Amino acid sequence: MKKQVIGLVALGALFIGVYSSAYVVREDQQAIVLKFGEFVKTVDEPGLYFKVPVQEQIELLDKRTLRLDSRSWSNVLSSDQKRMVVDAIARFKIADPLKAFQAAYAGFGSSVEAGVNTRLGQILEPAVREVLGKRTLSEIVSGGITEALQNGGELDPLTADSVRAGKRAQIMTAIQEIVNAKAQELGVEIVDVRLKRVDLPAQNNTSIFNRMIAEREREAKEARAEGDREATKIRADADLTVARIIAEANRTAAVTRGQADGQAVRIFANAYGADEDFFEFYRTMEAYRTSLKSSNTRMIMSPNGDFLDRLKSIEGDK
Amino acid sequence: MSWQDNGNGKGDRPNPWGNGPKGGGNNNGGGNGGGNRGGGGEPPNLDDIIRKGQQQFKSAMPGGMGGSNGILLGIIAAIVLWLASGIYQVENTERGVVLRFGKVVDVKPPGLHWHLPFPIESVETPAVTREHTLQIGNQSQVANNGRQNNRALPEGQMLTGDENIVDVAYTVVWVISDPKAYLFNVEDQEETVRAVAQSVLREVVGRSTFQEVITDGRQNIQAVALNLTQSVLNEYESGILIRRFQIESASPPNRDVEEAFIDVQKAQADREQRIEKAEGYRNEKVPQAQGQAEKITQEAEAYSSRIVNGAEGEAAKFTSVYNEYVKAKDITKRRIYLETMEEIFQGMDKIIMDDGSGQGVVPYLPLNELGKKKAESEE
Repeated sequence: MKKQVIGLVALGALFIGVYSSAYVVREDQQAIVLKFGEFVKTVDEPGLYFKVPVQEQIELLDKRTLRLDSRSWSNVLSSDQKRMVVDAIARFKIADPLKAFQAAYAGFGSSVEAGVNTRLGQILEPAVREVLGKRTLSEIVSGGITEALQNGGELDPLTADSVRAGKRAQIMTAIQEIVNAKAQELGVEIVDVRLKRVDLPAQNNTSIFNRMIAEREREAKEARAEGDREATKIRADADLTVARIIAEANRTAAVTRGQADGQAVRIFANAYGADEDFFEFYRTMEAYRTSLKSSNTRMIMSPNGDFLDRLKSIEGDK
Repeated sequence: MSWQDNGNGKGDRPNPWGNGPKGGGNNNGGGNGGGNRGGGGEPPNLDDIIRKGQQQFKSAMPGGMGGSNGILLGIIAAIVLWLASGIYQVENTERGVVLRFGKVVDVKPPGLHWHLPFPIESVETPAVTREHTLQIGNQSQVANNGRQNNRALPEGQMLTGDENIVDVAYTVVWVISDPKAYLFNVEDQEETVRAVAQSVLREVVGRSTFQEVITDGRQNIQAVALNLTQSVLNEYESGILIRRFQIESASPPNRDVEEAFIDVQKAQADREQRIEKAEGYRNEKVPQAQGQAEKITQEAEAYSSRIVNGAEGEAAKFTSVYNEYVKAKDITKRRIYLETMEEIFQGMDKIIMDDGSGQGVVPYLPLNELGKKKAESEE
């Protein structure tokens, strides 16, 4: 009986010993081992580990890319003194768990990650304000294209690379660098800082809306005016075309008439040129016939002419 | 019925009540422990039966061997159960990520699998084929928190490069591309996708003009946003693949602005209409003019033809007369002269005066009176 009891107790002790000395580091964790508070080592490979019970103490820390809670600050000033409402997010990793533990451990049961998060938030805000304060609103919002647009410049086509190389990306990198430098004391590596929102304060919305409306009204007016202009142009063009067509027709007609007249003259000249005397006589006769034919012509004649000379004598005047 | 028999149960027949102990006795191999032969006239004494049974049971056990047998059975059953607890199923939509003491040792495809039981191994089964959908900036949200939140714009509203505000509702669809990375590399995965997508879209929209966002630039914006979101998530080694980045709607931020936009469209329609009307005018006037021009040239042709033909006629007439004249010049000339005179003097008032008497008289002759008198006398 005694043997059995001893065996059981030994088994229990072994179990407790194993249980209290074994610890698991999960895939998403890292650990620091402290011996009565003195740092021993860091464990960053996942798996099953053993420690000296009581003597050694294990602190498990997150190894993942962690989220710095999204922060929002109003009244951030740009270099052109415009107020902005800015939201930034940051991702970080605990690169040096000992430093992080030393900086943010606040007693048993407290979360080192939460402590780091709070401290990073305090670092992030001045960094954001500092970097944005050196840039214009346009650079921050649009990476400078607003000014380019206002100056009538050409825009680069929008591609992923052009955005990556843009001013906003530079701004984010600049903030990241500042935060990263300061965060090293926390044993933290900043994976990235991203500006989420950069908005103008709500008071500005109304003026933006009004400007948008005004711009649209201008566009509408322009469109209508353009319609009128085009219409007038088309009408004028039509009128011009009409005038030109008529004028051309008149010219053609005049040319045709002139040619006809010329041809007639030529024809007459050809025919009459054969005997000019006879033509004169003949044409005169013709002219008499047409011009003197009417009955209300009265003529006082002398019997001495060629026609009436035989009224005086049989032989005439000759 | 049988219970009644039972109640009166002193008969020969065995009843259920009697059978139990009897059977029990048999099992124990203890012979007739129940002592109930059924045929006896006495009722069975339960206390006796139990006591006897216990005694027999104890005597039947040689030195406690039976006790450890039971414990062994129990331990074996427990071990079997423990081992069986490692059986798990990976659904068709999932992958099984096996962790041994927290370390990933295997990723299993769909099917039935077994892992070393707790606490040695455990398994996570993320759904890798499922599409996760994030809707950002839809209109209902704008309605809910757009107005009361006066410190910033609603989620979907953002500044464009030309300092306008556009209201964008978009959907991000993502899947788990690497289950291990997904599970262990990034905290709060869905929130991460959302935050990155928002940040990226605002950046890209900030890089575009308002017009591009609401009209023809949308395809490109989606493509660029997808590209950038993916590359940020890759930087996090998040094990997440963005399948689609879709802009569901991009519209002016409020009704007044929207109306202004609608008016622009109307104005554009007006412009087209005015132009079309003018074109109608042109299409009417030009053919008319062409017709008129045709008429003018035709008239000229007609004139030409008339003149030329007239001239030719005249000339031909003259030529033929001349040809005759050449044959007998004097006679013909005379004849023509006389015929002409004859013709013109026929219908003419004539006053014939001799030269001598006429001279000096003509100025005083009431020429008009003479004419009138003649006319009156004729009437």
